[in-house]
Amino acid sequence: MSGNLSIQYALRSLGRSRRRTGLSVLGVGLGCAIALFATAFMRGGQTMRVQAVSQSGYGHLRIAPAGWEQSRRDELRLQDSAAALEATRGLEGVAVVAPHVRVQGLLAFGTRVAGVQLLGVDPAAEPQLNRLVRTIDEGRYLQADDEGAVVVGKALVERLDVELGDDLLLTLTRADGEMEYAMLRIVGIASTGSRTIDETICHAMLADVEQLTGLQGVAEVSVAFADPQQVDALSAELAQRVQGDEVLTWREVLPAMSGDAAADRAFSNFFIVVVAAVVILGVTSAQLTAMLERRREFAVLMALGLGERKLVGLVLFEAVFMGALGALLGLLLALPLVWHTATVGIDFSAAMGDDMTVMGVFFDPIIYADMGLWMLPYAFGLGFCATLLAALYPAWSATRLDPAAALSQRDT
Amino acid sequence: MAENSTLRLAWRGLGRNRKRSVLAIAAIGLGQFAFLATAGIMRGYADHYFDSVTGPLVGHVQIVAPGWREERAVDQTLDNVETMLAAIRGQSQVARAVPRIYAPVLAALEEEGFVGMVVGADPALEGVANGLLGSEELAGLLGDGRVLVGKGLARQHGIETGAELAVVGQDIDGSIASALYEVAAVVESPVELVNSTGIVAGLQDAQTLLRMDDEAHEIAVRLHEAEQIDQAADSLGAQPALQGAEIKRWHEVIPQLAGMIKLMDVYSLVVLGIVCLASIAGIANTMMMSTFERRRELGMLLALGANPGRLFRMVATEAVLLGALGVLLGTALGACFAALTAGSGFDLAELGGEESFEMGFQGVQIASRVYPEVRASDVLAGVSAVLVTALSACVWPLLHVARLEPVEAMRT
Repeated sequence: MSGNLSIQYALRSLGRSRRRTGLSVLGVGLGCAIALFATAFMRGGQTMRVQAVSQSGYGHLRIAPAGWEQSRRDELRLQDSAAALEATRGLEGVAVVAPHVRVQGLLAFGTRVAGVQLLGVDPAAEPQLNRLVRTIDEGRYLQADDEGAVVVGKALVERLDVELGDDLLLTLTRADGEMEYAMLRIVGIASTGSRTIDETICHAMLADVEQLTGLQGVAEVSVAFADPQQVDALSAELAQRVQGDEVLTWREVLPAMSGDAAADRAFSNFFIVVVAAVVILGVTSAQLTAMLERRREFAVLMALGLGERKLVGLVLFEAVFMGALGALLGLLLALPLVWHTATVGIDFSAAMGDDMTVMGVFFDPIIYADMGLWMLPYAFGLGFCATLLAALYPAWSATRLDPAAALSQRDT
Repeated sequence: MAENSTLRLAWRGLGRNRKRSVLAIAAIGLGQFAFLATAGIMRGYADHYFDSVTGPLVGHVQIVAPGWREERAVDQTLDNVETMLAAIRGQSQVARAVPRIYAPVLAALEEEGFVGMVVGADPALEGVANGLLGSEELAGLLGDGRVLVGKGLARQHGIETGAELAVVGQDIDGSIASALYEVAAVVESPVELVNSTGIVAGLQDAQTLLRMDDEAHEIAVRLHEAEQIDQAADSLGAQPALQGAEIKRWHEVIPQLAGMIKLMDVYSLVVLGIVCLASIAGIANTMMMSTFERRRELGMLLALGANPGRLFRMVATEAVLLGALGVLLGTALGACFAALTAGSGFDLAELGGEESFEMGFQGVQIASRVYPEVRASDVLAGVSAVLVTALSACVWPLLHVARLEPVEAMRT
């Protein structure tokens, strides 16, 4: 048989037992659809996690002083903050560059007191990096010529029982160990919808915090990229440009968040492997039955001179064809679901409430699936894998047929 | 044919094509295993969250001054705590009731200053299992100016046993409150607040610092049975001594965690749905193939006067037997998984290629290592799902049998 004839023969035998072909294709299709949906959802969740981290003020990466990753001390300063800022701003693909300094202190008003981490910011860059301060409920965000001004979260305002324009007493310890007091006027009240986040927002001018702590310079530069996929490539490039300081990705800044992402991934992979294994077992079972039914047919083909390799090729071609049909069916089944989840999303706010905050990262309660061209190779890869793996044993057993013995038995 | 022989015939039917039956059993078994493993992991997490929340942190029911949950102002205290405690402990459902005080402070260790939270705890009550400290030895160290410092806080600021901590805050009248404490030990607590910012002081020390009388911020109540939460909350609300105080159930205090625990059940259900799909595909495929293969045989049985009902029973018994064997295999695998992971736990983050981690979520310390817990009810859920699907999967083959014309069937 020539190659072309083999293909025709394979197609015809698939058509001859339509019910079985249909069942196998349905099995592969269902499996592909489940795996596609699960993967689209997981990918969407992972992308949203990176976005949520980045937009909660962390950025995609951070230039931090050497040793900060281990000690996490707020009082460390960059060796050369001007150079770090310049190197970052000159890098292609960088969307926002925001310098920060941090200090812990107590905010007090009357009998009310709250412990806060005061964040010193560049008022022009911060709202671009940090979506938490984009919605100002009352007043405004910090401006370039502000002095002694502070923007606080709504929950903090309630806790301190204050309002816009009030002066808060800030107590902190300076670098030299002395207590420092300062009055900060509330110029804006931010509201994210998350109480946990709103309790932590406390932004002041970078220069004010430098002066209060007695430490000059920038403690960290947070960087957000236009394309989150480029985090690793760009961080490697930036690491070469920055001398004396460390370039850390969000995974290193928030190792537990990164671990959580890995746990999510592991669980999804486990789930997808189980689905794939169940599909493979189902298809193998159908193929095996087909094989047994077609013993006589294969024996005739072999008796007529069809070589072993051709016979294996025939069985495998049938498998590939079924895999392709299964993948197409899977795509057809999954697309409407993935499309719906990618546009409308799945809203977890009923179960989780609106306040979905983990380690200062504000998550959207609605998760959108990731729909894209990746679905095509994924579906076909999975379909081919399932049917080819399922056909291996039948193909192998076909080559072990003894034509004479198989033909002499009328019914086996 | 007696029932016994129906079973024997069904068994023989499955044995006729062993490879196919084994594959179907493997598919169902894998599905059941996946369900048990998922349910086990989810329950492990859910129990871990529930225990951390209702154990040391929140308790099953919490009593606080009105508005304290939201504003957490130092002066929002419960008065006459001793009387309240006596009334609470008088309830038969109550196992433990512990008063606590929380005050944000600025702490100074030599030259360094940082924000901490003084947590006032009664050493006599917090040393037991499910207490804030969980060890009598640690609890015994508290009091007379000696405090315990959370592990995370100690690590970040280099606090060691024996160090002197100066704390400055505000008392309930709004005046400056300050004290000098000696660090008696560094503690690891399941409560994130204690780990990351906690300076645990004796209740009396905390009352002295804040100039409180017989006052506290909250009373955490733990019950004998978690099922009695609603009943206990109602009867506590009727107590005259507790009039004016807010009585909250744990899921009202931390709705996000309650939502997360609920979501885990949903997740297990989704996996159960997939198990059903896998069993349907596996059983339907096998049963259809075997029914079609045996057209002649079934036709002959009908021609010999076999009642169609008996054929029905035979096919259905075969399907149920297939499902039962698969479920048995899956349950055995699930039991192995549970036995293997019960002692050492199971770390999803490590499987995902990251280090094991712990992270704070809504005040609870969440570890990536999970101790799966497979329950008999999960096995039962899996068994009933598979058996129901086994029966529904043989509907098509049964219809086929019902339409069988004996003469036609024997001719083909």
